[in-house]
Amino acid sequence: MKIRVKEGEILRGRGEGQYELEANSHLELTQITFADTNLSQTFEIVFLGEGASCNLSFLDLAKNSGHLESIIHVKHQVPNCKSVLVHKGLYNDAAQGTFKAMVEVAPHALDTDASQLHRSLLLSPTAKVHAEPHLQIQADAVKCKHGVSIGQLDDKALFYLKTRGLDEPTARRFLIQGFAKEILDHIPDVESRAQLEQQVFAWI
Amino acid sequence: MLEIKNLKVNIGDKPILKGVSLKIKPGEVHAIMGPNGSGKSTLSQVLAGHSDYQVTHGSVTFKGHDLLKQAPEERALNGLFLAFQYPVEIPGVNNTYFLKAALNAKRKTQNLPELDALDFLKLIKEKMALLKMDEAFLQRSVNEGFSGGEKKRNEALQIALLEPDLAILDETDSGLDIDALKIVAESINALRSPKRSFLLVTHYQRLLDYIIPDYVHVLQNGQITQSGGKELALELEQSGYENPR
Repeated sequence: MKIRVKEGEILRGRGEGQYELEANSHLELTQITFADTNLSQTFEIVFLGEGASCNLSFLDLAKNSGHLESIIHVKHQVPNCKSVLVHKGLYNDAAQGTFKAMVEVAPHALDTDASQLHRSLLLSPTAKVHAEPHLQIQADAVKCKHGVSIGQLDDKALFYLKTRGLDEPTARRFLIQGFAKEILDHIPDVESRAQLEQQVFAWI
Repeated sequence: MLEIKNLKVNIGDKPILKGVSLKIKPGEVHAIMGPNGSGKSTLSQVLAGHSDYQVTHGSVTFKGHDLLKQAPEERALNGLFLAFQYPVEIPGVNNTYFLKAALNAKRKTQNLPELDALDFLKLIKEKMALLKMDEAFLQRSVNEGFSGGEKKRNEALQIALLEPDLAILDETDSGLDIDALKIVAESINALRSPKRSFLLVTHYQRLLDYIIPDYVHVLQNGQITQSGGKELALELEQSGYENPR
């Protein structure tokens, strides 16, 4: 699916596809994906005009023996565009996650500002994640960064919550909800946000 | 209330507490003082139920129960509270949501009805006024981005809210400026009652100027080497831990 964000427009989007951004447009993409079997999804963002920007917020949740793969490709082809990519993953049971991101900055895409961040929590000893952040920069005078952090639920935080009388499942749920919140907060509509919060909650 | 008998605790193979005994009766305020590395924080953490420490000997009874057999949350629900030296930051978890869950967990064990959002807000605002805390605290994530003093006040707020039978305050004065220390001490003093006990764990005597203990104990190298009344704290301030009477 090809989606064109017209000059000066703001689009709130979700779902796989190729998003093309004209000058001074903005894309707010918030994608929350649940998987308990194998699933692969691909997103491509192409900057066609100057002054455009996008916020890409992903939350991947996989359980059982599901393998959830997210491939995200951001192409900075013109100068003065900004992309912010935050990908978070929650992997339980024997699930696997794959995060493959490529941010490409073309030779003439000067003053590009691009960041990509991946954070995931492995909720069981048998869950796995493969994180592959890539930056391909062919222009000078650009601002680009990337970061990856993979971990488990914070033992110190779990202990702190338990000393306040919360049992293990409740304490874990608190930390997982806290982790997911950064992405869920990008959903402006209160009702659909609450609905998704419930879904995340039920998924745990 | 609390009886610790000849408690020995290791971290890995390393002995930290080497036979600590202590008895706290209802309504009493005890202070444990000692230099860094004496085992003060270990004692607090063991009482709260941290799993990194191995109890190799001794017993702890709290309100008639074998404390060491209980999970951290059981201890809390039974009325034991630890105010952390370093309260943990929990991003994304709203402070109000957290405080309400903690209170309702406790009310449930007391067979009291859970408070709804409105009643809870009314209650927490009263408690915050006591501690002169800004209501903005309620909107923030648990301890996230709080200054040292704000974290300690948030701990004191939880004592005021949860009304434990025994509150252990681990280095509560660290990170507090003198004004904040007075406010926190006032709120603790207001909670003193013939039924409620406190254990103040502190390196410095300063806190004890504001919360006057009934008993002071000196913990050195994993053992209590001296016990006395409140005047012992002042003597220590003069002579230091290295030169006991």
